[in-house]
Amino acid sequence: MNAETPLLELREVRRHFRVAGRSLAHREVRAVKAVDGVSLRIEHGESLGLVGESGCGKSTIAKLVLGLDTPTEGTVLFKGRDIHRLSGSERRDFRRSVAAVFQDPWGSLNPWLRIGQIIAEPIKINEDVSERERNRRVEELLEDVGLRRDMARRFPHELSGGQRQRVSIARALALRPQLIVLDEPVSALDVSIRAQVMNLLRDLQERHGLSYLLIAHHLATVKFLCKSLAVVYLGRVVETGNSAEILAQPGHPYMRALITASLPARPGVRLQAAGVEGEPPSPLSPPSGCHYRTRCPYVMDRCADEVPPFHGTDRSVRCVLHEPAPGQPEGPIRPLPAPGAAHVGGALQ
Amino acid sequence: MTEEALSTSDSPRDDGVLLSVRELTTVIDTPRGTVVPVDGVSFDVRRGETLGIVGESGSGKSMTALSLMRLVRAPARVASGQVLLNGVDLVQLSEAQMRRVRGSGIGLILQDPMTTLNPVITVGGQMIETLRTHGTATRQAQRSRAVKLLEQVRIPAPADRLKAYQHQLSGGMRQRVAGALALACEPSVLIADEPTTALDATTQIQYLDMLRQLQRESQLAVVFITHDFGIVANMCDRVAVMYAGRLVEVGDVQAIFEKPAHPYTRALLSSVPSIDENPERLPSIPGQPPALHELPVGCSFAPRCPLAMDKCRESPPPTVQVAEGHRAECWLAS
Amino acid sequence: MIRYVARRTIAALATLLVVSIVVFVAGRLAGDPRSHLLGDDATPDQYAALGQKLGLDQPLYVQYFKYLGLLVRGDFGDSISQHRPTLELIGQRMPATLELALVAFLFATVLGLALGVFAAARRGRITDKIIQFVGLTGQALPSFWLGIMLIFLFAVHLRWLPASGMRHWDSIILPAVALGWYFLASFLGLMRSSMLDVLDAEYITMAKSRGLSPLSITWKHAARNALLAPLTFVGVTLGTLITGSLVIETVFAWPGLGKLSIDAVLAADYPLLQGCVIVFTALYMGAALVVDLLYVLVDPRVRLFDAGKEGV
Repeated sequence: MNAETPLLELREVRRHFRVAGRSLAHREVRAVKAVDGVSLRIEHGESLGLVGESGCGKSTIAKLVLGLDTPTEGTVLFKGRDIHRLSGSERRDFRRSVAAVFQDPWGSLNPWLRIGQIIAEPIKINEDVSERERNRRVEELLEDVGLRRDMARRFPHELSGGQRQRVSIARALALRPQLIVLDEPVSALDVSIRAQVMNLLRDLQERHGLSYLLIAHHLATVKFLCKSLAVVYLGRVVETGNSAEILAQPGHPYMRALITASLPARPGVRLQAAGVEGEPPSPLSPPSGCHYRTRCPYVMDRCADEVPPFHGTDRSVRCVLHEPAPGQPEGPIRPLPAPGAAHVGGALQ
Repeated sequence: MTEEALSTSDSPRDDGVLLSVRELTTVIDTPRGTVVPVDGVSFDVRRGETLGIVGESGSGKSMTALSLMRLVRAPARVASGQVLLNGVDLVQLSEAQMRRVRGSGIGLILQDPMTTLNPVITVGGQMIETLRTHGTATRQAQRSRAVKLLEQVRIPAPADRLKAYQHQLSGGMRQRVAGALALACEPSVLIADEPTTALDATTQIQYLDMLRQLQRESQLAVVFITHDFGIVANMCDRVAVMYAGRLVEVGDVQAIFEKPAHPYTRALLSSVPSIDENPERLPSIPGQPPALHELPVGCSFAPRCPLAMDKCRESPPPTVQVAEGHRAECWLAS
Repeated sequence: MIRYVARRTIAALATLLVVSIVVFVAGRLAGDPRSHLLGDDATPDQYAALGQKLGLDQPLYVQYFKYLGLLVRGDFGDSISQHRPTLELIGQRMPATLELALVAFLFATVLGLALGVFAAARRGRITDKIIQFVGLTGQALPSFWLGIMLIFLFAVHLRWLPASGMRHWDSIILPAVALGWYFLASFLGLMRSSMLDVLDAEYITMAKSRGLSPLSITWKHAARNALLAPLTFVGVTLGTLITGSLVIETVFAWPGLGKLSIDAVLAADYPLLQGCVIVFTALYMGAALVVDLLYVLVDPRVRLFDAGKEGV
């Protein structure tokens, strides 16, 4: 493993779910391509945000990263090693290095155990330390996440939603992981608590040099915690790159729509649904070629014929609009015009 | 009450106020004592206007919605106050009279698209029954009105959809049907309790766009309950901020965003991150919203307020008229 | 749909096969018919002769395959104790059991479900408590005791209804009530708790918000959804009622299959016993299948999803 090896990498990962057809005559076996050729990289100490709407496959990606599910095709590599081809001790090492925090603060903690026991559990299972040492670590972790030490004796139902998420985070930190997968960690919390937990996550990131794979639908949350961003639509990554840059100037029409749809907390900017049209297509029968073409204000005929490749040098956008002019090399991504404005059949000039 | 007096859809007041809530109080009798989730709530909504009620969990905003329609269930009950719909006080009506107002005077949309429609009755069935209950007489008329309503909420192929069951529709479509049902009998007021919280961002914006259009067409007065300031900024004309059962600040949306008078409002607004900013840390409010059965003496927000004084902890703050149409409950407001 | 029925039928046949083996062996273990037929002072020779006549001297598996062969041709053999074809005896007594089971079933389901809805709609009030108490009695009181008490009260004391037998049209009332009471209590409880869950659902609040009548909300909007939970037990209930009427038939001298089977056991009458058990099993599964098909009619979601989803 050299310095270039990313902490986590997905290479052309696909995850298909077979769905039996309904017709008695021909029993078609159709597949839902929940994850359809996704490649991602997370470097050491850096964080990646995964953005997309329901059904896009981001939760499936999270499970694949955690090793809770096996890809139909492609590989998931942790520190350069395929996580499904690890030896016993390597696998243990992997489990210690990757942790998870989930969305629901009420469902993620065992109501029968005390907080201290919940946080100690991973240590108990994975490490051979004395009870005293374990308890000491638990207290340290509680402090780390901003909870009082005496919380260890309480039960989950005695804690508020925000406190429970902190416990989940403490539990995730128990084995000093390198990567934490966070699936909507703050969406179920009250607005005034969200900021607290977000600050905490940021602090921990700096203090412990953690990498996050953050799944969130709130774009500002992603920007706050993640340097890089990947936008997922119906199982495919459609744009990746630096979060601040993407949010300031989206390359993919879907990203543009998402930004339009995330209403700014500023009055006077009246609602405009421009560029956001149509219903998300069914994952069972996604549109041919570019999945987004049925809702894209810039759609052209060729969008139905081929799956667009990635374009761009400073970041990657899976859209023919960013195709360089014939004979020209790839270049940085240019801004999208307003929908409805004329655009020359293909590339943005 | 005579039939004439009951009719809530004629002669609104001159200032266009359709819904006037005065000191509405709802209590819950629990073994641990009486809890007051809605504590002396007062606001007005005019025709064509959207009032946003912003609050977090436990603030009492959903209870307020149910109280307006008198749908609170035991052990909760509307204890006092007035809910004047076109001059008629709904709190004083008998249950039978209130039933006639529900649907035809006020409509309601709730949060969860998964459970907001009856799973074993078709969309058409639910629409037709609602229409029949409030006076559309013939089957023919009911059916054609149902189709028209589904068209209004932008459901494609509306005639076919009448036969559909709710599990055959997407979340966004279910919420639209819920909207059509709520507005079927042309109420003058619509209460929407977080209708888009469970929807995707792109679905949400389309839904809100549709709602705005419907409102413009029929000059509905809308009470929009949400925790999302983005929605408030883009949908609402006036805002009421709710904390621990009380409205701590009410004003025009411009005023609330630019010159919030209450520390809670200010803190809440600044803790919401925006895409355009790049803060190192997000300003946050320490602690958490209080449990309603353990409210502090004095101002409920004092324990978390950065500006709290001794006076705040001792006595409840007065209502201060900060500006025309803008009031706040705070010792420091002026 | 067809595939579903076919699958269930095949499963039923497989079950019947297994049952036939089990009852065959169990019946042989229960006793020897020869001791009943010949009496205590029979000689060993007479014993052996009768054994040969009845085919009891052959190895067990041979006896079984012979039996199976006859069975698939519809020949259940002759009853040893009553000297008539088994099938004929069963055929004679089956209608009585079915009648009793059906009436008890209607009593238990219709009344039980309705009371459950009522109790839930009036939750916490006197009506609810009374109905719940009634339910409690159903689960606590043994059916034979209940039967005897009913006879005592209605037949002996008040003289409103006949005490036993099948002679009058109203003879079926007491046995059906005694038989069905337990299930009435079950349905009542299931329906009540299901209703309470449904009444908390958002779509009920929404229905109320549209000013729909309370009757419509309780019976049309809520009850139809609440029905789905107890409905899963309806199939089993009908089957259980058909096959579980032994005690009641005895108490009320009701000439049904239950009584016939008990007599067969006591006489170690293998053919009759086997025939009864197999017929019982078939009736049980048939009843369950019919009701499960009806379930599909009630719940639109089940109707439309035929095959399941499988992960790769």
